[in-house]
Amino acid sequence: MVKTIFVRAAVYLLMPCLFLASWAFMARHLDNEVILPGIGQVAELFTQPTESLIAMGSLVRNVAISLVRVLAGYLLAVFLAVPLGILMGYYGTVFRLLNGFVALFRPIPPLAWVPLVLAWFGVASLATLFNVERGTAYLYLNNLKFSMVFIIFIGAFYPILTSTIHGVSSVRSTLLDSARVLGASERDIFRKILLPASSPSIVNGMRIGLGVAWMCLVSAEMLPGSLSGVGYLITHAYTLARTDIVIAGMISIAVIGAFLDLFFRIVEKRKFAWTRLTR
Amino acid sequence: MFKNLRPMFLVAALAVFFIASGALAADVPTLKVGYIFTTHHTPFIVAAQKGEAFKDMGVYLRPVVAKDRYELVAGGKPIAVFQLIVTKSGSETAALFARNQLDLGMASVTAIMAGIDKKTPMKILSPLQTEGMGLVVPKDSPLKDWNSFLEHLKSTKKPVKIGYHSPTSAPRIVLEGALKQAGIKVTEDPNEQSAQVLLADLKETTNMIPALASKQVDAIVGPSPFPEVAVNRGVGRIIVDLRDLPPKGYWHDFPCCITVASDQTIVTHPEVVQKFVELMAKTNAWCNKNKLEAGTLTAQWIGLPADTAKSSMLVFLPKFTQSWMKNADKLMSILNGMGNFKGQLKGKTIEEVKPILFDTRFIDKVKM
Repeated sequence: MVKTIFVRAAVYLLMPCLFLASWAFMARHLDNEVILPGIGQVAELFTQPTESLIAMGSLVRNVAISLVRVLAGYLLAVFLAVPLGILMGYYGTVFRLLNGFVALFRPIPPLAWVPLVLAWFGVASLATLFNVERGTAYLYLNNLKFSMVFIIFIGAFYPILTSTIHGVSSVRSTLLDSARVLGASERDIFRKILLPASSPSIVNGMRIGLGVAWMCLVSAEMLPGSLSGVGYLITHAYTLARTDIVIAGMISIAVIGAFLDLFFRIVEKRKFAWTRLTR
Repeated sequence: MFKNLRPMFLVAALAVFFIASGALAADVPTLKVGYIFTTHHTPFIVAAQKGEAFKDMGVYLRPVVAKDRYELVAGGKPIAVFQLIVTKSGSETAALFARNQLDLGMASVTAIMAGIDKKTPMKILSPLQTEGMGLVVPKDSPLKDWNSFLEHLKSTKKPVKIGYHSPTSAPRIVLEGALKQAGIKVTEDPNEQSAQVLLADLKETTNMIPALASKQVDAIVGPSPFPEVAVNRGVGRIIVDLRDLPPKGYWHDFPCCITVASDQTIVTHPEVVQKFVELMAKTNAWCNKNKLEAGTLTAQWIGLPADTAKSSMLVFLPKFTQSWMKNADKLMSILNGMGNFKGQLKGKTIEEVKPILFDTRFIDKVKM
């Protein structure tokens, strides 16, 4: 038993340890902190996460701002893509009506939207919407710029939509027909068959969408008017040749992303255990 | 029953939050001011940081939200609120003016010229900064100065690769001009092995120091603060300040950054434009007199190491000079030669397009 746990832990830790060892070796070999700083130099930044870095506020503050931006764009994508995906997956007419149109925009990378987004939204934020020009509220609301939220939204939208359509359209028709024969209403079919059966695919799409949302973050935070967020921190640190901060920012994104992904994995394990039985 | 009232409570709480935090808009106009996170825009950064300490100038900035919103105060009264918009480059600033997203701004003269060439409705108001451009070689290079650099170029068997950040940037234009005057063959074609210098476009200022550190280029030519940062980070050594390139005095007051306003702002808020120009001109003069403090304040704002502030090579111009105008003409002719202008500046001299490029009424009225 103890041996099994030890072996399992060793398997989990092998790659990270090899990675850290290679990093330490390369950093010592290169001896150039602009190209690759040492592990200790990066670790030091995490020992003081609330200290201001390169006049841009602390790592914690910037990560928190980015998290709010990602969640804003992502939740907007979830609220639009899931209902739309269900409608497109369930009703053939809606699918035929929208699929060709939606598919036109799917291959466009989120970054390609930047010129248009800037023209549409400029540097407007929630503070502009509520006409808030000063005070604490301004500080919070101004961090949520529409252009940034849109770029993150567009990144997360398509994976969620595609997975939702796939999940709903993959529900076995025998289940739906049986329910109808037994007198189930459309509402019952939706609540008790369609939604539970398609949920694993929807949640998987949400998981992928969240990953893409984080990927869009750096581009979103490079839009004009931005002066905060871990994406901007990374870019500004690169400008000043502070590669240690660049790596610390990357690790922060990776850790937050891993925790959010873990949440989805727990949901999948607890709520969709039945999918393993159907295989 | 209480459950139904929850949304109302939430709305009320939000309203109280906004009002209590002083959220109500001011009566003065809010103007968007674009600037770049660079030492070139030191005077504006200094004015924002010094705030009421500049009260004696008669015009100053009063912070509303640090680094984000400032009141422009003149004659003891706020006359405008400035919303600061950080842009990545001069060309992005020009693009934002074209999209009507900026009212006032600071950017490189070449970027604004390119914007005006495409009929973006904006005008150059005043000069901001000149000089501050350096040629940087790796820290361990045996090259010490311009003369040893030229000797190295003449004796080398393959082109020396020099990285720059933008084809229309002043550092690249000045260096290329000086090299050609010294009889050095310059190319941008990597296949032309007979040249002595190969100029490599690194696309952005951000790529300059990593490119030098990883030996992708043999030298970089760039605007402040990158030469100073390269030195501070132990990557490079400045062998020449481009201002000092021969012939002596020829490259002095070479235009770099300027202040700019949209035509609409000039028409609708001339009093604000006047005070903005006055603030910048007076702060320019202050920065020239207090170089170390100005550099330190900017370093704090941008997050640069304090040492870079001490070694800043920047010069700030309170007014247009003859030398500036002469060099602006030189710049225009070089850009025309490169085929950069396709619109209203194509084939023109600075004298011919002065009314399109400049609105000097404001700077002419400023009494120092």
